Amino acid sequence: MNVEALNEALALVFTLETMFWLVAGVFLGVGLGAIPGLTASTGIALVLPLSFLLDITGMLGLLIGLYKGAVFGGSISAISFAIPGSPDSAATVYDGYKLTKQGKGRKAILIALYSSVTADTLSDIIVILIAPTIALMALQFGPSERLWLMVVAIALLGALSGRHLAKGMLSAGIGLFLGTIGTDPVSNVPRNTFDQVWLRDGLHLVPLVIGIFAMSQMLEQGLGVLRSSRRVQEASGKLADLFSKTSEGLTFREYLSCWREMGIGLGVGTFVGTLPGLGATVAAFLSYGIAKQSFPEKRIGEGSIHGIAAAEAGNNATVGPTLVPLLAFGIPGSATAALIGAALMLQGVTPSPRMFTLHPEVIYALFMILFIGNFVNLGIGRAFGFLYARLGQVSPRVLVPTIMVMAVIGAYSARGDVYDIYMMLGLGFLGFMMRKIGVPEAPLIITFLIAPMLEENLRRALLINRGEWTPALFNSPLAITMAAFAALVIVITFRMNIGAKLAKVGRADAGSEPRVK
Amino acid sequence: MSKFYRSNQAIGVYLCIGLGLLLAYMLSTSWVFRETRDGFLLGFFPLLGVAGMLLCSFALIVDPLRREIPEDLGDISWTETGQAIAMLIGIGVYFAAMREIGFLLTTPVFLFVYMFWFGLRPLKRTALLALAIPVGIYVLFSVIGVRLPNGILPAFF
Repeated sequence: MNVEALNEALALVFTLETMFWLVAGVFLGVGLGAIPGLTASTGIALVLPLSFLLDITGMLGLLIGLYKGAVFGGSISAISFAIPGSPDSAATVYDGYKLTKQGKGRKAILIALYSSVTADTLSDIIVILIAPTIALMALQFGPSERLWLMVVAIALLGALSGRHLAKGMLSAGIGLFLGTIGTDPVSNVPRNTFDQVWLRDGLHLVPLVIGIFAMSQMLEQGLGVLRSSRRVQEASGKLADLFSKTSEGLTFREYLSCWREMGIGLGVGTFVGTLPGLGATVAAFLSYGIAKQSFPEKRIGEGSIHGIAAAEAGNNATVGPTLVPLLAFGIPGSATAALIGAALMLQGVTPSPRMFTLHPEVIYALFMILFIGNFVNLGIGRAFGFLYARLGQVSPRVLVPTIMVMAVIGAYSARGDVYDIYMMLGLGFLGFMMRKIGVPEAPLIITFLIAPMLEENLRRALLINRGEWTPALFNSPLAITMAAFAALVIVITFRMNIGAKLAKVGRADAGSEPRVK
Repeated sequence: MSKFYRSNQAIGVYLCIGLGLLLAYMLSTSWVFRETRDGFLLGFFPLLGVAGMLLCSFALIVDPLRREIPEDLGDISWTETGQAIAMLIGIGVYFAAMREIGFLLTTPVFLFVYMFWFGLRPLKRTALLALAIPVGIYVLFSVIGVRLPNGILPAFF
């Protein structure tokens, strides 16, 4: 252990400023999560320009806090209104809303909070233990192994992040194409700029992220508002129960009785979180499905706190592990991890296994923030969780135009470049069309981020091997194995339609499908 | 609109046509085949991206899910696509006006128009929110050190 770096990290993390941004991140995240239609990715995309103004630990506090808060926050509207704040919390609806209808909404929110924080904390400990070991292994990789590792990640992302392999890979192709717009990284010659001078610096990350994640979602929600006058009145009357002193809370014995479900959530969430492409939604449904099958006597699906514990432990346990591929290999495993990686890059720290030796203080600080964030999440969730339920009633008629204004400010304030706004709007339309035709956004953003590394490693491998392609690509048994694995992932996914099966995971068990807004 | 035109197969055809045109355009430019210092073709990776997209689009035409209509595409109409484009144009106009006239003068107008368009009533409430939200955003951003365009107004912070 690098004691000097550890001391430096302690000095960086335990400052008023970092703690303020961590608390602000969690506060904002729980709120965003509680509002149906807003996800962690949207929130991080919107605050990304703000992270320029902060130091690296403040930025990490804000983004990680927001991420943790948003994953838990999604359960609040799932329990209160049967409308999950994000798809991650869709599995919580089955039992959560039934408890709310029985006047036990308070108990449901509390078990969601405690199981989320428990699984999140334990999975963070696992991350802290395994990430450095994996990074140490990754340091032994040469350019061709690194190249194939990225190809494997892209194949997994394309295969698992949607229900249709071709669409997942199409999204990765768009990301690769957009990532090559600008200047060639080796010779500094402009390329793929369509003869536009303003494209010479390439597509800037902030308008891309805001366009794809925030603006496209607001367009979709805006159309939804114009199409219908959906209301969340149905459960409003039951909200009063959340604030009532006489309403049934959660006992410590009840919390402890959920240890098996939390254990399932922890195991599934940690494993799923480390794999690129799957994410918190699959983890929640898998944990829920396994718990339901394993303990039929607990009547999961009929308004049981055990069902909430399994689903919420499952989705929150992915938060830390989703950063493992980013830290150990420099390859983000999810859209949110990609955004955190992007924020690190904007601060001058490139996520890679070398980060453990080049910036150990940042790694230690990140681990500390991951860990402390859980206690902040617990405090804010406990103190304000019930108040946040009210946020689900904020009209999208107010919310959508307000977020559109925030998106414009965010995209413009990053560089003060007019073209960034028009780029953001164009990419917003691209994202909107992608959503409509069922093309996932995550492979696009991740491939966009790793495209320069992919190119750099291929060119380095070719240089080392004097321009010979075969030894450059297949110079070791590991490289050959990874190439074969990437091909296998694509062939198996295509033949067995795994994406579609994963998209349906857990839903058949649950009977009715929750409304995911 | 007939169901075929919304199917994955049709989407694959549209994309193949569009990407074919993009590929043709790229192949007609000189930079694609220029060799860089390390002997690598400048257009290799951009072409790889387009080729990958073309391959996936072709897969949409022939794969087992080709007849499926994407869930979200089933209920969208041309009118709604027009509305989405109109929203984006409105935001573009708002931004152009904001740079000239200032955040505090243009944002209430933008918010009022959009909230009204989205059906927020009564008008008094819409107007009040359209005035209060920009002031809140302006104060928040000023506190954290982001200067929003003042336009013709003097800076308040």
